Amino acid sequence: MNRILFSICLLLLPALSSAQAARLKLPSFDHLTKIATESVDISLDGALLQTAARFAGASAGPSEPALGEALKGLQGVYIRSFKFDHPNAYSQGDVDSIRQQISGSGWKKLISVHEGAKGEHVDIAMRSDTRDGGLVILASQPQELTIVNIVGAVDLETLRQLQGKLGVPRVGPVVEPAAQAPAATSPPPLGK
Amino acid sequence: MDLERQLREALRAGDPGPGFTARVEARLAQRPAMQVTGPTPASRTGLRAWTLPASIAATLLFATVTVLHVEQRREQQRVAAAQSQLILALDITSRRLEAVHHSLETRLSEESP
Repeated sequence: MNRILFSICLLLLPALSSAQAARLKLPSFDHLTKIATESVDISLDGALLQTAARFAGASAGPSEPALGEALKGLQGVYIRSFKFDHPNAYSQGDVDSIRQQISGSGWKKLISVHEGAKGEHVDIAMRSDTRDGGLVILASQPQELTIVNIVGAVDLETLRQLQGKLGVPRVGPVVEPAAQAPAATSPPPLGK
Repeated sequence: MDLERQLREALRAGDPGPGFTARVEARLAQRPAMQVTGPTPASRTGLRAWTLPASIAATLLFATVTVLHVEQRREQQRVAAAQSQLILALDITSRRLEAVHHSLETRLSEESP
């Protein structure tokens, strides 16, 4: 009996460790919360996330079956987002502590957008093991820092298209008006 | 008048004779026990004995229902709060991905002739 239990534990260990690895060790960022004009701190996982995702999927209705399936795959959602009233409120060390984690093994960097003139940097990384999945978005701007860490099977294109569904307002892209130009060609879908 | 005379005759005190007390006691011993109707002290005690446990049971039931109701409402509030947080999280994620998508789109359009 003990051998069977031990075998089951051994079989479950990789899955558990993979889920743990997909979750970043996010610092508390208390020093940023104190000085931020707006801050978001979300940590959702376990049964509560499953219930919330089920209700959110149900509110999307039967017309969005892919969305309901996408939400079912979520195992954890962790967000830290800060807005400041002045630039350089956070240190490079705050960003590097996250960047180091996604540059390690097991993570695959999908997209890195760096616009030096504006001081905007966005890194998107996913777990290379797509069975369990995991996503990190690290976006830093002079007056804004956002870290998104999703554990579980996620589809970037489905997530991108969430605006206007589930009660998520459609507000358009977060870009400067001058940067908006008519698109001649469409880039491939994210994460494909 | 005859009836009055008969009544006086009947009610006139007279000597019951020897052994009267013994005869009365013998008759009393032969009669069955007197049936008492109405609530007896014993049944009143029984009623009182039921009242206390019943009150306690009713109070416990009320308290349990109240606690369950409060717990259920609290759970509903937790789920509603979690749902709001999830929607906010998905909103932030979606916006960030859309911004990157738009940035790539813009670069491609600039690079294409």
